Amino acid sequence: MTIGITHLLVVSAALFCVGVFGLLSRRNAIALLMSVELMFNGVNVALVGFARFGYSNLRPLSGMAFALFVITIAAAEVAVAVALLLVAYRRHQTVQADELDELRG
Amino acid sequence: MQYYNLTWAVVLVPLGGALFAYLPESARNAARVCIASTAISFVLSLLVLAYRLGHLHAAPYESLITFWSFNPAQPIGGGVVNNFTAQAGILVDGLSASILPVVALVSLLVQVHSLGYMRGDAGYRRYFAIIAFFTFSMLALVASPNFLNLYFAWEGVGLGSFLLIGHWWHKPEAAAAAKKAFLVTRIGDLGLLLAIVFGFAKFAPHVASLTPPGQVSDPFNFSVLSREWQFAHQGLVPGVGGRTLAILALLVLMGAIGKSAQLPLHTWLPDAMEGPTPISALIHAATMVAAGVYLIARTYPLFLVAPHVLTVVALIGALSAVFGAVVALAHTDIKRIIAYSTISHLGLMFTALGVGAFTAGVFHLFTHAWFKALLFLAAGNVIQAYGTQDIREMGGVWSRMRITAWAMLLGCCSAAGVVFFAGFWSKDSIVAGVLRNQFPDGGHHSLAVKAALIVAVCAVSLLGALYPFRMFFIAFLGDPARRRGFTPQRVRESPPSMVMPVVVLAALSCVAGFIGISGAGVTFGNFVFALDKPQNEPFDIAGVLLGAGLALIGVAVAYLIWVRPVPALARLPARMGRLAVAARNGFHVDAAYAWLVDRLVLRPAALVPRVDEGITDAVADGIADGVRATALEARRLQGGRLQAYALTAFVGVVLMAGGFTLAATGHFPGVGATR
Amino acid sequence: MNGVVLSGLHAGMSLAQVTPGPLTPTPGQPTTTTTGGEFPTLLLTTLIWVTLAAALVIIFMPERTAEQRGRIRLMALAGTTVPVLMAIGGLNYQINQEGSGGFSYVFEEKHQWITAFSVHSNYHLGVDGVSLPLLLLSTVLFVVAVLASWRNERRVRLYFVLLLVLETGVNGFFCSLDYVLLFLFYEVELVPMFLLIAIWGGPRRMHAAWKFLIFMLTSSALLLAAILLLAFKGGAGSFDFDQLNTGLHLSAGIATAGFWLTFISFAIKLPVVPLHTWLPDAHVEASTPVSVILAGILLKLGGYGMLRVVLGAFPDAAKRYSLAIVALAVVSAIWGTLAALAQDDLKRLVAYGSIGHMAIVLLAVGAQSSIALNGAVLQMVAHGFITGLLFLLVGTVYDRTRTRSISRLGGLAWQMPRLTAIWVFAGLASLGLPFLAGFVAEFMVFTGAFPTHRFATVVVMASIAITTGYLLWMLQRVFFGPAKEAYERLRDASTLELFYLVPMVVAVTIFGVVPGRIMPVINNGVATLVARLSGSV
Repeated sequence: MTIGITHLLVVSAALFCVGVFGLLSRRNAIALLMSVELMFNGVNVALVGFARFGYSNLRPLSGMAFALFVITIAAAEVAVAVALLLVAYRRHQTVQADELDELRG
Repeated sequence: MQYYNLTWAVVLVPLGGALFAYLPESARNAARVCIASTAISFVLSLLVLAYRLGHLHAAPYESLITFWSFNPAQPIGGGVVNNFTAQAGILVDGLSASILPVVALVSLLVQVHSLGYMRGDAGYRRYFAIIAFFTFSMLALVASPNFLNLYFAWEGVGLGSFLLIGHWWHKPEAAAAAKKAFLVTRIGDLGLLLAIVFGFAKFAPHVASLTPPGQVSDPFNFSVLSREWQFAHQGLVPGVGGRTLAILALLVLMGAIGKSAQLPLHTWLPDAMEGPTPISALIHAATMVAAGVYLIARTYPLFLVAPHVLTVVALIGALSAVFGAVVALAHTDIKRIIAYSTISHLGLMFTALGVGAFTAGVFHLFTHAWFKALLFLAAGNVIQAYGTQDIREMGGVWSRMRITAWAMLLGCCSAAGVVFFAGFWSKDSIVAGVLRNQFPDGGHHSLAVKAALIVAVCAVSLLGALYPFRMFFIAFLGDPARRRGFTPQRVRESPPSMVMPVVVLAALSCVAGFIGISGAGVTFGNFVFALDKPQNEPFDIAGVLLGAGLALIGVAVAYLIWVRPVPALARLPARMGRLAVAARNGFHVDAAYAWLVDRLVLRPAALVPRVDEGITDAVADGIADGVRATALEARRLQGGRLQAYALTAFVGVVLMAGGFTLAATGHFPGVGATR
Repeated sequence: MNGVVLSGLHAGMSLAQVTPGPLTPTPGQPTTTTTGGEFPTLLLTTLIWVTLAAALVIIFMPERTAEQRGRIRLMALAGTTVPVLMAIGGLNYQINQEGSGGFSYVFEEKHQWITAFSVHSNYHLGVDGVSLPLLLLSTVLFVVAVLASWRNERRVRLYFVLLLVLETGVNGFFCSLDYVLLFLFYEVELVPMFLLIAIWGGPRRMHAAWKFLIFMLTSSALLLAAILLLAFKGGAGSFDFDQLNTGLHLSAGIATAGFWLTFISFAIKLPVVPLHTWLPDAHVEASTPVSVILAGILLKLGGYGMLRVVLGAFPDAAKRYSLAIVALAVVSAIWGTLAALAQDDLKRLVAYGSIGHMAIVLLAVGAQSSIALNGAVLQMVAHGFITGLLFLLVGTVYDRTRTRSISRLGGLAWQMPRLTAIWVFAGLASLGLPFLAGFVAEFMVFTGAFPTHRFATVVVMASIAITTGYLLWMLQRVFFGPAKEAYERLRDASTLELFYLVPMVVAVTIFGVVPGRIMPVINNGVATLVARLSGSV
């Protein structure tokens, strides 16, 4: 069986949905970050797939470049997020997402 | 012509007196300034009268200045009023020339009397200044050439009355009486104001249309309006018919009733006795209350073209006359007796005007000023000497204050209508007028009305002699009543300042009537008359006998009850006990008014702020609360919980993506495929 | 029923004659300046902005020591006196002009301002017979307010800055001849007033201030909607009065919508029952000088708006709904006066009385006749002075006795004879005694309104009896009668108080005794309105 774009997109969607599910249902903030990473990777798969299968005629391999960007930015974002969580933990003694609600209106 | 312009000075000098009263250091000099100004005014008014007497049949003289004029170019009814002009000025004709000296002289005498009566009073200077202001207003009223001027002076007189009744403002009763006087007369004044406004709406366009361009014509002016009322009677004024004229006359009557304390707006006058007695003499006997009668006399052409209203005038007058006489008979406060007597006599004047006896009515106004002021001032002398106002606590004045007592006797004779006194001539010409029952322009009352009026006038003739002499016999004769703290031996005649005016008024009460005799050359009847020429109201022997006879009977009955009691009559007062009590309460009219005001005005008034808070505010607050509740609900979206936000965002994205996909694939008609 | 006759005459009435007067219009565009052309035309700009300049100066003045605070007060006094002199000068000049043909505004200044959109806006200022007397009233009352605020020691700098900015807004509102400018000035006066009530007010000041603000913002919102409607749908392409208030023909739907929007907007300000409930609270909680401004001037913004905007921009709709306006006037008159009768708080009594007095203005707006509108303008000026005087007097009583309750007060004439005299004067003026300003104005309104609305005029006249009642009752309870020991040590009027009370007394008397000087000026302004209403412009 030839692996086509559809297979890659299904995998991507699956990864993404797992990530969304994790984002919405996990309580631990670190787990949220992990879920967000999953969502990023799901998107990466989709991007690489589009590049691989020639969906960008004008700019070949732009999907690959995009994926590299995503990886970099994900790393940076995780760094910042973990730093924020550290400060939040010091303040609230917890990293449960439903207890960090100081920004309520 | 120039002589008539002296009237400006007659009117304005007392105002100057009022203002200049605040210049001198001492209060007594201030009083002298006011007295001097009034004296000057009086002398000038005599000059004007003399000049007018020399030109009996000249046209009325007017001198006007415009103090307020603009061009509104307003359409009213079917015409256009291009110019609105308010003028002030003086009008000199028989009516005003004869009443001006009366006002000035009574004011002068009252002020002289007050020099003694109000000695030592804390508000001495203010008292005289306000009297001077009041004199100015009353003179301006008498000399008014138009309605606006009259209304200004009308309210000025009311203001003076308010301030003077409340002169001793620290007494709660006086302050309340002043307020009541102003308020009750104001209700009447609103009728007059409405008459002015209504008259303007109806007549101003016509007046404007008849005025040549470039000239100014004042639609409030009495002479202009007299013409207009005639035109209206003949049907020449568009939009004005008999009903309009009647309504107009009724409204004017309303104003007159308020000021002249006739039924049903009479309740303020007895209470006004809280003021100093000289004030009662000036305002509530001779001048201000006469303003109502004067108003009707001035606007008589209007009443002549609305004859049904004349019936109302006559009936109200008759009713008030009888009412006043009956109630006066029941009181023991000397001032209240004289106050109700005023109501009664004013009622007689109204009756006279109502039956078409114009000259008789104004003549009674003239004579009444003298003897009523006399009664009040003499009473003031006795009140001060005895320290009481109750006639049962007086007694023995005759032997101790001979001059005052003589004056009072003469005044009572005049008031009762004893033969040859001033009151006799005027009262009996009224009786004659009622009997004759003929309007100056030829109409007359129905037989039923005439009968009622005759009955009323007879009753008043009888009672009107009874109560003054009851007062005289109880208070002035006999022995002084024993009272704690009162030594009858100390009672002396009043000082000259208080005796002199009383003597002058007594003299006038005796002789002033003789100018009313018809047949002589210059008489009141030739001088003051309705329409254009003297009416020559004949002196009816039947009327004389009736009136004078009843008066003498009244005096005799009083004598036989209170001086030499005859058993049959002496029991009468006791038998009428319950009636007397009711009469002393004014037949409960006051109480009825208080109840009405409470139900119709005060209770709804209390409701209004509650409705404001309960309903209007509640609505506004409700809206505010609704907004706040919505905001609170919306606030729930901001839970601060990250995952809730994420869920919302995700759902939103799904919906949007779905929507776009469906639109792109053509599932929404009307939205074109985007790719 | 005698309706308002449009052109004034029926053909075939042989008795009536036509007198050519200010009703014959010059066809086409009205002139911008015919009189006062040589007078320096920066008068209005200066008058409006000098108070703002003074406020800016005061912002930078320190307020630590008493001497510095005194300097601030003097600066404020100077800042408010200059506009008074200008207003008097302008009015004097205008009085001596004796009639100008009825269509022109004087002291006009017009510069292009906002031209970027399809609808233009100009910086257009000018006054006519309607706004000039109100301008005089406003400037004088602000001086009086500054004098009455002399003893205030709390946050002096902020207080006077707010007062001066408020004056800028009010003066500008009266002078504006462009709707954007009008709205701008209308908004300018909101925040200072809110702060003035909220910071220096009585115990329930926050509630009153918020209520005031919300009601006024609603009024502004409605006004803005109407202005936008008029400018964008009117088809004139401009916000300027020249285009929108003269000769513009709107479709019936837009006219009706615009009319109701502006009418309700200004009805909140006038105020008209049932939109009036902000007034008693705001007046009672505000401090004395602020109440003077509130009653004396801010209510007149509503009245002026009724005349200038409601009648000026939507005359046909106004004519159609005149009966509704008159009905509301009657309700307001009765409501206000009855409520005043039931009050125990002195300030509330005067406040409710104001509702009754302004109802007379509304009656004239409903009657839409020339004499009545003349009376309305004069009534606004007279009421401003009279009610301003009354509030100042309430302040003098409250300062001394610390109470405004009529049932607790009594016999004050013993301790304060001079103040009592002024109180009696003010009470008599308020109930419409002739020789004082109130009567002239009310008389003209009644004379003008009666031909077309008889029942309403009679009822409003009857409400005057109630006014007489509550004023006399209040005077009697508070001042006459026996002395009360609680008030034994009170002092009579101080020199400062006399300094600002006596000019008010004089003003009220002058307008009552010689209204003739100012009537032609007012009439010229009103003639424009009337011409507009009768459809000849």
